[in-house]
Amino acid sequence: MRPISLKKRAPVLILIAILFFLIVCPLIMIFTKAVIIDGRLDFSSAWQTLSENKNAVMIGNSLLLSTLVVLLSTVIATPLAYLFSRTKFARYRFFDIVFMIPFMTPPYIASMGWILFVQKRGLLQQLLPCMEGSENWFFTLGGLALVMSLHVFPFMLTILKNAMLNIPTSLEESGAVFGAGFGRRLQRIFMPLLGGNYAIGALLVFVKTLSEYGTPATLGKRIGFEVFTTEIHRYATIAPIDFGSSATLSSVLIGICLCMWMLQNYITTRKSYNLVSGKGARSIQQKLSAPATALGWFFIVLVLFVAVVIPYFSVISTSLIHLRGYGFAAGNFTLQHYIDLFTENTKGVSALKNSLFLAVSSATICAVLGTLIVLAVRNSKSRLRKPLEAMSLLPEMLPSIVLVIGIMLFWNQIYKILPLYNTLGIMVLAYVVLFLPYTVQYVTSSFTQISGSLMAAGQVFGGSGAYIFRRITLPLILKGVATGWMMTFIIAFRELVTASLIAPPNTLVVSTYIVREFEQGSVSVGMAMAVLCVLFTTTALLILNRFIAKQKGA
Amino acid sequence: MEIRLDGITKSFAHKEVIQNSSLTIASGSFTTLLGPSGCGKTTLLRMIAGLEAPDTGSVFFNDNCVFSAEKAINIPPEKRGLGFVFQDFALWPHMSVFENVAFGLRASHKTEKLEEKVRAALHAVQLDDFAQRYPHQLSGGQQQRVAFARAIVIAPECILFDEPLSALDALLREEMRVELRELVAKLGITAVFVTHDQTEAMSMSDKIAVLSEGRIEQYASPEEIYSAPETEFVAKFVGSSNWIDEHRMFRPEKASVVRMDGADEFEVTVVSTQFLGTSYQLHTKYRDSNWTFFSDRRIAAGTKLPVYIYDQDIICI
Repeated sequence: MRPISLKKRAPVLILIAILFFLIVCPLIMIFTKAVIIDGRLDFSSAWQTLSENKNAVMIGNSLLLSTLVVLLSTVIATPLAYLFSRTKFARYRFFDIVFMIPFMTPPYIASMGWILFVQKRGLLQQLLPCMEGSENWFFTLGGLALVMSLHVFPFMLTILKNAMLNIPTSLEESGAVFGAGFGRRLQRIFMPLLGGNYAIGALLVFVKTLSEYGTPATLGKRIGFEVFTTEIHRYATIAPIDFGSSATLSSVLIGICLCMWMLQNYITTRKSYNLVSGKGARSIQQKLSAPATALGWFFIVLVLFVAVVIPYFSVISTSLIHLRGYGFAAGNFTLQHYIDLFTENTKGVSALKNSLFLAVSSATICAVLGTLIVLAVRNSKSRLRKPLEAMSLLPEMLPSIVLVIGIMLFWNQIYKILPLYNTLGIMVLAYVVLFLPYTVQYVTSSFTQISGSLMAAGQVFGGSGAYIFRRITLPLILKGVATGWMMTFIIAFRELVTASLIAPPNTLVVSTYIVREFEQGSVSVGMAMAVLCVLFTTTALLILNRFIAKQKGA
Repeated sequence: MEIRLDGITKSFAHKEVIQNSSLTIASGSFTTLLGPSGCGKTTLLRMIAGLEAPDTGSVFFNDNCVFSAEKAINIPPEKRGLGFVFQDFALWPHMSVFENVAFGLRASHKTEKLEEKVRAALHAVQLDDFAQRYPHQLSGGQQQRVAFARAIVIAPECILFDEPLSALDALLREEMRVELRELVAKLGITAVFVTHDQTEAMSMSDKIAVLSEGRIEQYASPEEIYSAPETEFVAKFVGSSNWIDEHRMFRPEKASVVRMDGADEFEVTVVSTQFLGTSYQLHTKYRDSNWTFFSDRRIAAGTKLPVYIYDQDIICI
């Protein structure tokens, strides 16, 4: 083994130092804040927080809610996954996109839509007066779980659908040949083969629900249902501010999430089967009878109606209704709220500007930093490249709120050295930390699609390192970089939890503007902003798709 | 250009993939590295190209040392000036055929008469009208030709081929075999060709180096390799072999079911007969070994049959 020169190692070392500072330091800060009091290791305060009755109830609540959401999204996703993988419904590829809409809708906007729809004298009761009292069953744990499931089920749908597509029909057919009936095949072949993938999907949904802030903060608050994220948020923002308790709860949440990921890892390695062989697997469609087809259509339309139509209908119509008390009456529609958004005061415009600035700057920094990380990981033989990659992906495994709390605590601590706290700068930094994994993943995946011989060919035909990078590597990973940039842009543009925790005083972004108008201002103006926000990010997504489709080759 | 490998070894993760090997490839010759997958032939080729560094030994192009573990010399691939045709063609998907071919010239700043040179290379491989296409718009054979044009445009003294025909279907493979050999002969340059296909090796090469488990088993002309294999591995890997005992074998076409004066006689039992069109192939049993050879008629299974082989056709290893 020849020693690797320092020059070759430098990029990896520098990037590790940067990520350690940005990601690991804040996490360490959380743990120390939780258990170090006045410079001494002291678990008593952390224990006190946890043994407080209401916190114990809260932890129970969180786990209960996550479990319910897993069950409910299974009920929604499983029939759809079957329809879209094994029956003639698989033909309709456009459902792939339509069913991503709920997932791409910011959860706080969807739950506001639901609140406006079902609340007392809300849209539902204005349209159908007979539904009076329906709010009583909606503003419950069940309603909360339903709204959250409607947000995350596309995730489960994708995983299950791909798993079902990957089960070769021959395995089922051989079951039939050897005498197993439909029920037995389902029980002995289909389900065991799916089990591992389902478990992975279920764990992901569980962790996502546990980490979600938007819906519990809007809908959960209405029914007084506190979960991890809302409690962490409350301790950190509402007087008397208690960062210690916030850090303690964050530590517990990190612990739960890490256990879940470990469990997921275990299942992936032990219980999932490699079903994709090089041979082209035939997939035969299950024939559906006419009533079954009708039932399939009914289910698809029902889910779309509940998951997409209702929230968007509420949000859009609220933004267009002149006086909400009059409801849907001719002459009660106006575009005035959209005009108010820009003219009433400067808050709306400045929120848009802030979000735009944050989205562009954090997406750009992520694109550069993320690409550098992937390049360093790919081109280095250093033993440190694995830790570097793991560190860059860490933020995705943890709830955003936890990382943001860590960043708050850490940058507060070093304020005297680096006075970044309480500026837009800290927001950019937090966004970069949270969304770095997107770029890393997209660029990595475009890298894995490049055959190593393409670079080797560049070398053999006389290209120097820089020349190969400019002419071959960069053009080939550009798609990944651009996709990462756009995804970061879209998600940063509407990010809620970070903005609500560490935005400098009197600085609003799109998401906090919407929440504020919804809670204590003009709901219609808030919804006008929500419509603009969704339109804007959807347009961005369409441009991205167009761009990718235009890319030649590959 | 003469290529000389001297005392090369290489290990990956404690596994020795190239055992101490030396090899001299004559200038202007077509040399094939032949062996089963995992024998180290591609590694050897990549070492010549500079894509892989040997652990010990040295590599010379004519009298220039391009690699020496002892003297810590390692000329990077981009400075070695070789042509290389990759197994998967390695055409850059985001560049047109023209740009793919022009890459080597641009990278080394030889842009004088660039257009002319690229056109000439494309003409040599009969792709004049494809300059503005992209690789994914070409068939496998056309991609193969572009990869070849890319290698010849820089006028290298040597072209390395890494199983270039393995990605093509059988019919095209045969066509390209002839075409490639003709082009290389026309250019008069040194060619090093890696393959696991003995027919390819036999039909194209001036000399073949047979490799097994990182060792060069034999380095000779195709005829010698076939008629005078030096090791058991070579005898078994190239052509089919019928073993009389542990050290003596013969090639199927040397055996006759018709009596030949002065030939040795062996008694075999017929197991089955296959009709091949031009002749019949007999599968037989001689003591513990299976022999196959040819006959002009079908012979019933179980028949005991005398077989004749001249003593000089029996190869001793």
